[in-house]
Amino acid sequence: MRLNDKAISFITGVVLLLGVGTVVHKGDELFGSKANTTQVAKADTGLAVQTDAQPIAHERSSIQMPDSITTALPSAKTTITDFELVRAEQIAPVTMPQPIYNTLQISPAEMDCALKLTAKSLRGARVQLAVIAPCHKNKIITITHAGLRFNEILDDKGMITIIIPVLSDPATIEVSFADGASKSISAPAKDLSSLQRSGIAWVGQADLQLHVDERYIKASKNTQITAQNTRSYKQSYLQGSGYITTLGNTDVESGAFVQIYSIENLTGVFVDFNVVLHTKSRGCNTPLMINTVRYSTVLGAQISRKNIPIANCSAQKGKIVLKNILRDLIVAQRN
Amino acid sequence: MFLSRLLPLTLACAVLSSTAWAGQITLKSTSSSVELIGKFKGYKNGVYTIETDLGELEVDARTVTCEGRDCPSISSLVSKFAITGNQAVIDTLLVPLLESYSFSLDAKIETKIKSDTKSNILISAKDGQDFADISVQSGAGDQLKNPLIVKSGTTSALPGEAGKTKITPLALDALVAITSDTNLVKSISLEAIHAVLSGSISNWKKLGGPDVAINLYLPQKTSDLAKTADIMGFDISKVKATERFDDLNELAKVVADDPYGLGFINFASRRNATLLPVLGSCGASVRPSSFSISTGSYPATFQHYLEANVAELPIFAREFLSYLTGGQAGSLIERQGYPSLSISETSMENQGNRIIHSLLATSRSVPSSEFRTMLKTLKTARQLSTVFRFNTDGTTLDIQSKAAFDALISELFLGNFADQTIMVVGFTGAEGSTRENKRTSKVSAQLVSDLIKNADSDGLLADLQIETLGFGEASPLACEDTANGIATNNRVEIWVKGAF
Repeated sequence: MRLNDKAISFITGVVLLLGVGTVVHKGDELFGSKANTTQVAKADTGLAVQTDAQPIAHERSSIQMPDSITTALPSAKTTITDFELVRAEQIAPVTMPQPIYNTLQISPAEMDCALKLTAKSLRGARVQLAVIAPCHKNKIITITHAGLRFNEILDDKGMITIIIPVLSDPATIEVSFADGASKSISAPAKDLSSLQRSGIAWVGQADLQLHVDERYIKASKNTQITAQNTRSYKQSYLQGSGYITTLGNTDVESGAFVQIYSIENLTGVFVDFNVVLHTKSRGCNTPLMINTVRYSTVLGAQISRKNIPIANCSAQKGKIVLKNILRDLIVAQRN
Repeated sequence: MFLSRLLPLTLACAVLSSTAWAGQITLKSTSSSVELIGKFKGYKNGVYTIETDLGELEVDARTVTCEGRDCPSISSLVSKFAITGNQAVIDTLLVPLLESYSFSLDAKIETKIKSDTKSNILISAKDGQDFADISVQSGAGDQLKNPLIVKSGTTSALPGEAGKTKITPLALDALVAITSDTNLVKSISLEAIHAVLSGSISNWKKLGGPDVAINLYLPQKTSDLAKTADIMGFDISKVKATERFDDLNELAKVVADDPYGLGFINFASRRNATLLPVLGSCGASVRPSSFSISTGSYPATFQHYLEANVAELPIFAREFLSYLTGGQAGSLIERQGYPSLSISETSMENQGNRIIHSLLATSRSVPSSEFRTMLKTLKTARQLSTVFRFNTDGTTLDIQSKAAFDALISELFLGNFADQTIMVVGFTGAEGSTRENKRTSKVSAQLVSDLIKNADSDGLLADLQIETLGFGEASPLACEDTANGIATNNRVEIWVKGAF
């Protein structure tokens, strides 16, 4: 055998060995035990769940519909639950949705003061955040993401579940309490690049509402949407228009609030924004400071602060329309 | 961001003597151990000027500390300047661009709104260091210090750069006629536009529509758009309008909702109103679009630009002006609805109107074989929005073409047309003999080819394949019943096609 032939034989051997090794390795994945695998409803490759909650060993988790995942449950002592994403061959039967915290049954013996977070990625670059803080029942929680923050109040079990339209991928969300307890969690938001987001954030007692005029969107049926007359994500998805998400609890004294409008990336879209200040609100006569937020694929998330003088606010009846605070959303066609 | 400025600093360090002399200062980089020693010559608008063995150097004061007896006492490194002029362009274009630039620096922005026409924009670093304090005020704003003045004008009416005054093109725009999409009239001639604006046509029947009065919606008589339109020969201030608007977007909304409404507005404010193509007397029409405005084939095209005394501008403002010529700014300009000066392209497939125009408007003296040759040559190529026109001397590019030339050279240097053939194609109007026009068009194309080659002093484009062609009067873009029409047709276009 000539030298070249020897070399070829050697290389072929190495390639075969590597190939067999690879097949064996894949085989482990393909034919391994599926005892702990739970399949729920239809798949969404953009979906993922991150949690630091302690799962109960060998109990099945049920995740809120309509998304679908395959869940590989870890052993009892594992602190992170991994969820493997799969695309289902067909839509699985739908079970009644359950709030995610109901499935995390924490027995009194296990109860401690640990702050537990779960972040589930939803379609439309939204993250469903579930907070379990048994020692912060009915307490105010501050939720911060991408430079924006808002306040909510936990229920009498120390829990809250909230859907947040996010501004980064992965989206990191931090929660904190007045006593200093805090924790953060991240979740992917893979379809963020297909969206535009614009909104306002403020702190205090001012009663502000984002007003959106979608008259330029032919698909839009109700062209005027506000924080009160809002539209669900599902409705907006079906009719090809946008929706507003309102974050923050008005029961929190001088709380932080966020109102965000989201719409799919389309060309030839013009959306007009106004910010309406209700003059009967307690914050009417204080200097108004608003953070405006804008997310676009090209520029990412941009937050800008606006100081707005409101002369004789309470003397004015009803509401004051603040124009040009939030720049209109224009996605012009090139030709 | 400051790396490019530190490079000369590093080079200087390598050669400069450390021996002290009268007036000597040492500029130490705040981010590295680099030092620059030289004779202090001055400090202005955030920039040190020092004399070194390498010559006179300018150093960004934000990047260095100054040591030496002659170091000036600097109370603040904050760039203070003003933005004034056309309010609609400031609101819809310049402020978004300023925000975008600031975000690209990872800076924070705070706007203090003083009134509908006045605000202050504070730009600061994440660590709190202030970068710039910008006073934004629409209108004349003559009393403002260091102003960047937003102005609008036709390409031919743009002032030349005189002395220290620098013109920075911002975006293109055009005066357009708009209707509701339910309106039956689908085009309008230039003559009809003038007739409507003079009041001699006030019924849709005269425009080919139903026998119904025209509801005419116009900008305010004293608006910037009215002034620009007047420069272009469209007087929109005299006619009696159904309604006049301060807010041009509101004008577009009202016209879009009125089946008998006719409005005149700038292209960027069109929203979802229907744009009427302009019909020439020779039978060809041009639809207002970013491409037809960029190439100058749409009549009533104008330009928004910034005028500033560069020598007086603080460093942040100067850097902002540089940012405006980049791709990120161009992308934002287009998203805001303005045709930008950055390059776009279209294929012959999308230019059916141009072919119709060629057949309708070209003089009969052009042989049909010339059309066939032109179409055969260009059918597999793509036209760039870069179009060159010359000043009346016939040898120097006009101001818009200069900006377009710079943009093209940047693209070529970036290698965006590598492995492709650049076709420099000249065209003329129909005046003169067909043979002479073909020769002239080839000469014009050769001038542009030479400019491209001369711009490549470092031989970076040595492999670039350039084909120079001239088709004379074979493809007019405008009817030649006006001086503007003739000027539009005398041009050099850039096409690209695969080299293999």
